[in-house]
Amino acid sequence: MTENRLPKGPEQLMSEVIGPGWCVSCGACADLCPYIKAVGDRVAVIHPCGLADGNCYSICPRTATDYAALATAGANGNPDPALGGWRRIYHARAADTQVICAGQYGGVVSALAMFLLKNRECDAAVLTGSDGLYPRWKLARSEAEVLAAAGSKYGVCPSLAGVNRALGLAPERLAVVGRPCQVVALRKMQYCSSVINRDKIQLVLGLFCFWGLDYTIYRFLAKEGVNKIIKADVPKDEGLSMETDQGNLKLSQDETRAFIRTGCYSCIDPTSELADLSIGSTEADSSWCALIVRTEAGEALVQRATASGVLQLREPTEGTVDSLRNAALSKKRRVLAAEGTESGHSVNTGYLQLAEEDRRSIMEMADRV
Amino acid sequence: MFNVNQPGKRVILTGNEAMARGALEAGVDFCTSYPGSPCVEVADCLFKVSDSHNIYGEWSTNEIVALEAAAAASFAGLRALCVMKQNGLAVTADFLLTLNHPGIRGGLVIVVGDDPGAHSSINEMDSRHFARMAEIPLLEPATVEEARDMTRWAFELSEQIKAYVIVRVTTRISHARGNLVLEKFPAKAERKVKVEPWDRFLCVAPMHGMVHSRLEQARLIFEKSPFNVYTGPEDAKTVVAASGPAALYAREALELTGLEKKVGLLKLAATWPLPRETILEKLKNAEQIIFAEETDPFLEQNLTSLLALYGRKVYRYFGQFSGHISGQAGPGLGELNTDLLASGLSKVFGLDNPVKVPATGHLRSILKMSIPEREMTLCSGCPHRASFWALKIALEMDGRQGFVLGDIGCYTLGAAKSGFWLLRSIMCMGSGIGLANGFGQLHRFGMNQPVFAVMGDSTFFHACLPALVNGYYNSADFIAVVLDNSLTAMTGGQPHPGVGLTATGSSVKPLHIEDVTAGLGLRTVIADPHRIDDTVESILELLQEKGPRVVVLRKECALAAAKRERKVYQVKALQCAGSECGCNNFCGRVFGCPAISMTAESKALISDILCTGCGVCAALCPRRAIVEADLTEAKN
Repeated sequence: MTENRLPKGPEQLMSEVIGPGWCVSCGACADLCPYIKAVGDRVAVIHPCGLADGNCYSICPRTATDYAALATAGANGNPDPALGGWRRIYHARAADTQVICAGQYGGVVSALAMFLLKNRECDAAVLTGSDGLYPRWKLARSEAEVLAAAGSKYGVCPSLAGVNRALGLAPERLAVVGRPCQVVALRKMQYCSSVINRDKIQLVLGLFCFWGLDYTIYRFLAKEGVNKIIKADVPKDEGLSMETDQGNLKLSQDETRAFIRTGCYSCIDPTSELADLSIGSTEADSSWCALIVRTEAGEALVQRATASGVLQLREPTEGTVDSLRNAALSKKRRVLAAEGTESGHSVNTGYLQLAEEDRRSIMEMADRV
Repeated sequence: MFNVNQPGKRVILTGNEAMARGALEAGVDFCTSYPGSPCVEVADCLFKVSDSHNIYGEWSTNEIVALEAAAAASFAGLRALCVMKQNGLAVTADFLLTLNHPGIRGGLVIVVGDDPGAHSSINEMDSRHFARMAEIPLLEPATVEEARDMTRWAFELSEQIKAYVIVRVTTRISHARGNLVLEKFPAKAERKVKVEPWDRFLCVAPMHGMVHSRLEQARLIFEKSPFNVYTGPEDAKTVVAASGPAALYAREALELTGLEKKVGLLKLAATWPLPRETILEKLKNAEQIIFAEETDPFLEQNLTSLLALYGRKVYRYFGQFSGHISGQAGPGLGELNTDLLASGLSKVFGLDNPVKVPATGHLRSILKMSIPEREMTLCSGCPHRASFWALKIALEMDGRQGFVLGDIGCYTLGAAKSGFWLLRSIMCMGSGIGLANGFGQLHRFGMNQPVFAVMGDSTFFHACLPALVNGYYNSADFIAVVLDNSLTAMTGGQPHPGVGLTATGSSVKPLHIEDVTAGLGLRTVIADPHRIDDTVESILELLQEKGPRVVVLRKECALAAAKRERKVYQVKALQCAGSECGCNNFCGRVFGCPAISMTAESKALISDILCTGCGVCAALCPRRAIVEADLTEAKN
């Protein structure tokens, strides 16, 4: 992709994305300027900025998105219809048990963010922490701040607002941890020359994400008396499971699904295909993470981190990669095959610029699952 | 100057100062007021000299309390003055119509400042009707000197007939300057005030007859009043009947049209009750009468009916009803002036209008292009601007089409661009929260929009307390936003119960608004409007709840703060995003601080004269391009 700038602006962002309910609260448009804000899981245009076209529309992951074009500059190796471009797949974990404890599964995201900060390769990391109950983006500048924000948050936090704030106010070299939609937005930003200080985005760590939850889940928990979520997880074939200050809470899959963000039903990218590295659950061993190495920069980071002893790697456990591929393909098929709805939820694939042959490869591979 | 003890000295005073002088020359003992333009300074002046003249002075919480307090002083035999604007008189209405029954003792004078054309009010209204409704005397000075003379005399008149007296002025008297000769201050006798066992101050219906007889007593006095003056030919066939500054416009207009030798001018100043005999006498040779007054046809209606009842002939009348005497927007609308009266007189007599107004249409279109529109705005650094922006963000983020009801104060300007067009209603003091009590009950009729009511800190004490209690009592759903800038800003920064300082400078423990609302059982939060993100969060949290809620947005008035500490911000042009995507001149163009303009390169530019150093633009700037300026350089 040479330049990502479309001749549309906040008005169309409202009418095409936010208004109809496709917004996934990634936060890319928020705090790009004083006219668009994100509070909680809600993003809104506060006031017309007066410009007909703007960065906000171009970088939104639910406006025209061409995965192939966005991928090329990243040099992601063989594009795989199931998992996107990747070079290596590992199971990984932090070497430091304190990091594993604070983090999710093997604590790999935290370990890498801490490594980047300690080594001064980045000045700050944009992470999703919490205020105890509600997710809140955090700009971490120290290892301690990374640990404080560790652990998966299942609510859709518009943490890219934190990136925009940082780039606008005090440009520092950033590492960003994000959901797949946020990774797409970050790549769009990197291709958009009018986004200020876009060169300061150094590393993009993507997460596996099959859906995110509306913040109504937290209001629900608050009514149940929960003040603090200590750990959360969605084990294979189960609903949301949490360790809280009110004890352990489990929701069934159906109960959890009631809170899923509408926009997530239109997503075909559960493994952050455009990230430098993608990290998620192994669904086999909860003390390790699945780590997909995609770009040169990502590969170099993993090598440096392993060499300096903060990261441990091993070959993926038997069957886990196939299992991941199947899950990804099933999600893609559900979205691409859907004629407007999926399990009763509206699906919008109009934003996807998917070449017909790519679409066919995905569907054919999905059929063989 | 108004307080100089040099009888015989000729001075120039404003109308307000002149009325204060008149009260001092009458030996006033007690002065109460709620600040209201155009006559705030009458009280301001008296409070300044309260010690030297042994006057008790107070800013009362509202006008009816002010009048009640002044009436008490009068019952105790003291001379009392109560000062208010036109709307304030309306606030006292219930007391006005009952205080007239028992009568008073020490002279009680109400100075009311009307505002024809509404220079500094939300409406124009004619307070003279209240005098008629309350059946008490009305005095209308036409000049600054008369303002002094009649205020002084009003105390004597009030004691003679044992009724309170209204002295009614307009902006053109209050804010004009005129010369007068100072007279002496009376010696004040040592007094011991006592409420005797037989004292009763009762309004009972049978006293209504006494109200009539006091009024008739006043009429007899008015028949001989030197303030009602006829000038011009004795046998004039046409007489202009005028009161207030309109009488002066009429005099000038008569000269302009060359009619002064032909037309008589009856200037009434002791206006109500109408001096019946005087009027009949002065008009006995006339055949037509022209009325000149502001704002309503008070004289016109009452004089015409008087002449119908008591006159022995039929007159032709010209005035508002005939359309000859008209404000620019129509009869009874806006102020009069000499030109308008000259036009009116010309129409009556079929003369060429001596006032030649040149055609300016073509000039207007040129000016429109080169002169930018001056819109009503808030001062640089005004905390209300930040409060309104935070409120706007919260409303948009909430997404339920919530709306904001307004009230009276500096923040009333939030109805326009400086408040992002947020205010949906503006009426009298306290009406915002009053309306919120109604809107806050409409959920049962299908309305789910959040209801906000803004009010100032002074307004809170003046008018909002009963409505807040009502909200608690009837469980209305609203969020009351108290914009607390720690003084009564609009009228010049007077203190109020929340400030901790009285009119005469003594300290008192301030009433914290949040303590009051919490005491009323209302959910209350406090926030700093300059911290916009935190304020938005507080409001969004409150929006999740039901029932009456209060958020106090507390930040000192920028003008008061700037008097203490000089701070200025400036723009780092290289970092400023200007008109690019990411900003598009947000600080100057949208946030709208009047200190911020644009350079030729569309970068923001802050005027170091206008900037009061609030720093909100710096906090809002998406590029951190606005920083505090180092003033030590400028000093060196």
